[in-house]
Amino acid sequence: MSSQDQQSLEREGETLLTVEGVGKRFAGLQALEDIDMTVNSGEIIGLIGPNGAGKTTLFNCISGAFPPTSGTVTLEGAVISGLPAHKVARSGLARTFQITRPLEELTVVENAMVGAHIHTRRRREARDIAMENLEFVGLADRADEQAGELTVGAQKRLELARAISTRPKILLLDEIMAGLTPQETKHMLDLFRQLRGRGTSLLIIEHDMKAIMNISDYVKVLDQGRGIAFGNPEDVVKDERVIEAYIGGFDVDA
Amino acid sequence: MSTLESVREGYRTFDDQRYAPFVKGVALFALLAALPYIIEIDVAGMELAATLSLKVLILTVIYAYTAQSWNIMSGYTGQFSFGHAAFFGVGAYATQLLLTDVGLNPWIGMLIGGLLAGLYGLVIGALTFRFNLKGHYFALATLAFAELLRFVVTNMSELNGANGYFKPFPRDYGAEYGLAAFQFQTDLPYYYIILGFLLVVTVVSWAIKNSWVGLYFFAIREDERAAASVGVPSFRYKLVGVAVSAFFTALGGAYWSMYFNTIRPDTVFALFKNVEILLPAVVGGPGTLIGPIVGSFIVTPVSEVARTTFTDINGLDRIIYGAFLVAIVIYSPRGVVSWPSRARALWSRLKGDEEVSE
Repeated sequence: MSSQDQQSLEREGETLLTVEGVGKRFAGLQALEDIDMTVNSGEIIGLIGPNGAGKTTLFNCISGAFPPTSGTVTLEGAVISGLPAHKVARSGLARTFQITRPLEELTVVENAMVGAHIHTRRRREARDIAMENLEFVGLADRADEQAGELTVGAQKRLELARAISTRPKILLLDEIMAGLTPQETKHMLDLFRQLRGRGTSLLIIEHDMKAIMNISDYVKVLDQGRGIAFGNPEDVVKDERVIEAYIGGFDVDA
Repeated sequence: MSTLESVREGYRTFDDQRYAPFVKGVALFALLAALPYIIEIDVAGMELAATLSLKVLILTVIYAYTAQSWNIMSGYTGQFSFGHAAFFGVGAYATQLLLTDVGLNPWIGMLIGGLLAGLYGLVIGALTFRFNLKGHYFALATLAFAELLRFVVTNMSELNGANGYFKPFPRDYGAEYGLAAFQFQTDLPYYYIILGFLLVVTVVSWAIKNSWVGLYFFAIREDERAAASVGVPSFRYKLVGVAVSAFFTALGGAYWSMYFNTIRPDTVFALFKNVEILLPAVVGGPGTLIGPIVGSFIVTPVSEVARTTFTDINGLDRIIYGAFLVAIVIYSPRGVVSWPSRARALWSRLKGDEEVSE
C-alpha cells in the first residue's frame, strides 16, 4: 500500500501539532528533509526509523532545542518553530530526553517542581502538583531522595513526572522505554494510556517495535531524514519501503 | 551511649521543625555578635585576641559577606565568576568618588555603587550568556571584565589613576563620626555593621533558595537544557543572578572603602581580590547558605594571622589560599559543610559492615 494516503485515514480529534515541510541542515549534512506530519488531540503517535533516520533531530526542531532550517511547526495554530525551548514548553509542549537529564543534586520532588513552577510561583502549589505526578509515575515514596541516585528506570519515570508537571497538551518522549525491564515497559505503556485518557497527546520515539506497535494509534516512519510512511501500525509494518528501510543495506536481490 | 542516642534523636526531631533554620540562624548570628567579646576572654593567661584581633574578625566577616554575595550567582546558578573584584571595586570607587567630589553621603553612594555594579553585571551577563560561554571560558571572560576595569581605572586621571582615593574625614562632608557618616573612631561599630551586611545578604540568599527563583537557579546549574525543556528561561534568570550578586558584592566594596583609609586600583580591583571573594564559598561549600560563612572563618584568619606573623615571607597568605584551594578542589569539591553528612554516611557504612560481619 502507499504510505501517502494519510488523507484517507479517519482520524479523530482536533489537529494539535502540525509539522510542515520541516528540514534541518547541519553544515554539509541534510539531517531532515521536508517532513510533514500532524498530531491530533488525544492521539498517540509512534515515530520510528532506523538509527540516524533523524527522529531525535525532528524532536529537537519541534521542542526548540534548535530551529529547523526550513518549514514550520505550529501548536494549536500558533507557530512555535524558532522559539527557544522554554517558550515552546510554556506554550504546552514538553519533552523527555533519550539520555536522561535528571537535575542530579536536586531531590526527586524538586525535579518535578521545576516543571510545576511553569504554572505557579508558589512553592506549596508547585509541590502539590509535583507530588501528584510523582504518585502517578510511582516515585512518591522517593520524593526526598537525590535525583542522581535513582536507577535508570526510575530516572526515566522522573523525566516523565517532570515533563507532565508542566501539564503539557502534547508530550514528546524520546526512547523513554530504552533500557527498561519488561515489567517497567509494561508499567510505562500503562502510564501512556492513562495520559491519553486525560487528553494529553503523545509523540513517542521508540525502538521496541512490539511496544510501539501496541500503543500507537498511528506510526510515522523516517528514513535518512525523510518521511517514508504514515499509517496504522498494522499497515505500516507491511509497507515495502519500511521493510526496505529496516533491512536495507543488505542487497536483497543478491 | 543511650544519652548520646537520645540527644541525637532530639536533634533530629528539632531539625524536622519548620522553625529549625530560623533558630539555627539566630544562634549563629548571636555567636558572631558575641565574638569580639569571646576573643578577649582570658584562658589560662592567654587571650585569643593576642593573635586573632578584631581587625581579623572584621576581615573575616567581610569575606564571608562577599563570598555569600558571590554564591548567589556562582553557587546557585552555577555560573562560576572569577571576576567579582569588578563589582567590589565599582562599589568602593563609586562611594569614594561621590563622597570626595560631590560630598554625597556614603550610604547613598554605596547604593549607587551597588546599582552601577548590577548594571555592569548585566552587561557582562548579556554578552557572555548570549554567546553561551560556559565553564572555564565563562570564568576567564569574567576575569577579563574585572581586569579591564583595573586597567581603565589605573589609567584614568579623573579617578586619580594608580593613587586612588583617600577617605575624607567626616567633617569634610559635613558630618560627625557615627553611623550617619559611616565612620567610627574604633573598630567595634565597624564589626557590627559588616555583620549586619552579612545578615542581610544571608536572609536574601535564604529567601532566594526558598522560592521558585532558587529552584530555577539550581535547575540551570544542574542542566540548562533540561531546565529549558520544562519552561525555565535560563538567560533571564542567569541575568537576575549576576545582577543581585553584583549589587551585594559592590556594597562590600563600599564598606571596604569606608573601613580602610585608602582605595587603589591594585587593592580593590586587584587580581587576587577575585580569589579572596570566591574562595570562602568554594572552601565552605558552594551553593549552601552556611558554606561561605564557615569557609571564611577557616580561610581568612589562618592566612591573615600567617601574613602578619611571618612578615618576612612575602605572599605567604596567598600560598595558604592556594593550598586551601587545591586541597578542597581535589578532596572535597562540595566543601567543608559536606563533611558531617559524609562522616555520617561513612559511619553508617562501617556500622552496617560490622553488623553484617557479626
